[in-house]
Order: sequence, then C-alpha cells, then structure tokens
Amino acid sequence: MSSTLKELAADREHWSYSSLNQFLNICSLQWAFQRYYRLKPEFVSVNLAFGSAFHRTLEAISLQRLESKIVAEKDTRDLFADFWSRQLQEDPNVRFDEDQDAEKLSEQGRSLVACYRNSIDPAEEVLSFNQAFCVPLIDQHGMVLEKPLVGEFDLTVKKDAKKVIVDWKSSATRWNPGKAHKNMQPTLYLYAYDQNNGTGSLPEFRFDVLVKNRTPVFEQHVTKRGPDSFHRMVEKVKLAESMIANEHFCPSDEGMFCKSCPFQGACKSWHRERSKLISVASQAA
Amino acid sequence: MLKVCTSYSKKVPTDQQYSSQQFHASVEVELSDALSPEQLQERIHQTFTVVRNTVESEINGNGAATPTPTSRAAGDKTNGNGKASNAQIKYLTSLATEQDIRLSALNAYCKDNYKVESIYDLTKKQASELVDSLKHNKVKITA
Repeated sequence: MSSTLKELAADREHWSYSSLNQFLNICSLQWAFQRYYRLKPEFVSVNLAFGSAFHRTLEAISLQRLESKIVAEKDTRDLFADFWSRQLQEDPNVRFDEDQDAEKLSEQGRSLVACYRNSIDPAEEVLSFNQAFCVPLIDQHGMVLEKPLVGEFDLTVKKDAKKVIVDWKSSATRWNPGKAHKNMQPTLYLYAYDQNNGTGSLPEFRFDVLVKNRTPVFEQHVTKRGPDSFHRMVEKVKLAESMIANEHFCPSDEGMFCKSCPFQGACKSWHRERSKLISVASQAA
Repeated sequence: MLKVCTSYSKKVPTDQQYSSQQFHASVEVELSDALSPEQLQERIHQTFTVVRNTVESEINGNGAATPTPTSRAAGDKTNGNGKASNAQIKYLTSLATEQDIRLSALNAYCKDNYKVESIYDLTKKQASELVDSLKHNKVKITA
C-alpha cells in the first residue's frame, strides 16, 4: 500500500513545493524562521486554514467521482461548512484580515466548492487523488541531492485518452494567463512523475483555480514541462541548499507576503540579532 | 606512495536562534602509486564515504562518543522507524544512476524483491544489501 504524504514527510528530511516556493519565491528568512530555526508562528494565516478546508472538500468530492458519483450541490456546501468549522477548532490561532470573519469565509467557501462541483467535466475520468510521491533530485550530470522531493498529486484524470495531473487552488484574484507556465509546482510534480514512471512521455499539468470573486469563477490553466526545466529546477535547489548551509537568509522587505507572515516580530529584530553574532564571530576569528 | 586527505564538514542549526554547530572530520591515507586512476578514484570514494558517514552518524547521535543532540532539526534527521537514511538512499541512487538504472526500474526491483513500494521504504539493512549488490554487479536491473 502506498504511503500518504504525511507519512512520507514525517519519515525523512525532504524538499516539497511549499518549502522551495517559500525559500525561493516568498522569503528565505520566513523559510528559515519556520523550517530551520523552528520558531513558533505568531498566528495561523487565514489563507492557510481556508485552503485546508477547501482542499479537504475537493478530496471528498473526488472520492465520490472515483466511484462515478457526483455529490449533490447542497451536500458539497455542507461538506465545506463542516470542514471549515473543524479547521477552526484545529487552528484556534487563525488571524482574519480586516472585514473578514469565520461566517463570511464559510459562505465564500461554500460558494467556491459549489462552483467547482458545477464545473466538473463529466467526460473526465478520475484515475486517482491524493497520490503521494517521494523521488530523488538528480542534476543533469547525475549528481544526486541528499534530500528527496516529496509531494502529492491532488488529482489525476483522463480525458480523450490523455492523462492530466491536476492541482487545486483557491485564489483572491484571477490568474494571469502566463502564470502557470512560470510556476515551479508543475516543474516539480512533472519531474516526480517522470522519475517514477520513466516512460519519457509526460502528461499535461493543470491548475483548477477557484477565484474568490463575489460570484466565484472557475479557471483552468494547462501547462507542460520538459527536461530542460527539470535541470534548471535542480540547479535552483542546489543553490538553495548552499545558501542554507551558509545560513544566508535574507528578508524580502518589499514582498507582498509580509502582511500575512506569521514571523513579523522575529523579522523586525532579525538584523540586530544577526549583527551581534557576526561581530562575535569576527572577534573569534 | 600517494597521500590523500579526505574531509567532510556539515553545519546544523541549534536550539539557540541564529546559531549553528559544525561537525568536521578529516582523514589522511596513504595509497600505493601503482593504483590505476579507476582504483584510485574508488579508494578515494571509499574513504570519503567512511568520513561522511561517520560525521553524519555523530550528528545523528549514533557515534561512539555520543553527544546529546541539542538541535531539534538535527534530531529530526534520525529515522527512528528503521528506514534507510537519506545518505544511504543518495548513495544507492548514485550507484543506480551511474549504471543507467532509472528510479522506476529500481522501485520495481524493490517491489519484487523486498515487497516495498519504493527505495524510500527500504530498511537500513535492505538498502545496504542493495548497495552492495549494485556495487559488485550482483543484480541486473533493466528499465
């Protein structure tokens, strides 16, 4: 029987899309606070909690689809309400944005999952969902990195005899048409698929995005990847590892993620603590 | 006579904020100058593997003079479940890559012979056995 993502992640040190994205695209210092220095976050981001409930609901819908059943729209809405309420119990420290509260987000989530349910293509066959993977990262010269890549395909479907790997996203805004082609997740996930299957023929990768407009919008963004993008990605991981080995973590002060960062307090005083350490180190040398 | 110095060092974070602890080992060995380049490479590789594994073992608290692990991150690196370590799997995958064996073929071999889904489910002992087999060409794994 296959391991779950949770089991794979607990078994060994690893890289994941969320970890690499945090380090390379969001803020390397936020990555360090969370995953290297292991600081306790000041709060749980509402987007994280909302995303978990959204994801759990889509899993439940997919389980039914696997058995060729479609959940009724009302049941879909109820499922979200239930998962959201459980999520808030699991994460009591959720920080809501201004003009948000649990009930408003519950209503928004119910609309989003109903929109998803009504957008399902009946011609599409569900092959699997929540399929976890763990693969080695190997560069173009055959050098193997120590930490493997761990992740999970949200959904794998087949339509017109073509396999497609799907990832679910909820988003505050509509996606720019080029976003999927630049995103690191399809690169990592198709790399993992390629490693595990070794057929040389890669499926397409699709983001199924639910946009949190007043009337939710369902978008699909399809993209492809190949060996060159895999080599580029592994080089970026190698660079990240070298930065981590030297504790080169830099705050992304102009980043758009600072507002929702749960390490704002530690970040504010980071330069004062760091300069003390560096001056001690230089005296010792 | 050839002299080869092999060293390996690794930094791991500690509980104290913005600080880390460095582990370092260095070994000097003398080798015959009659060795072929391939034999020389193999001996250097073996020496390096010993040095690296010893350092990793110290970090993971498995060394002869075992220090108490102070780092949560370092403590997390031990596979308490008996599964092969990342270092073992890395070595196994490197050997396989050198022999043009793809991960899919390696996983299929593990499924047939060890009844596990992938190389990451092998125990330390099974991984060590498979490394030995690959090193000495005792198994033929084809894609």
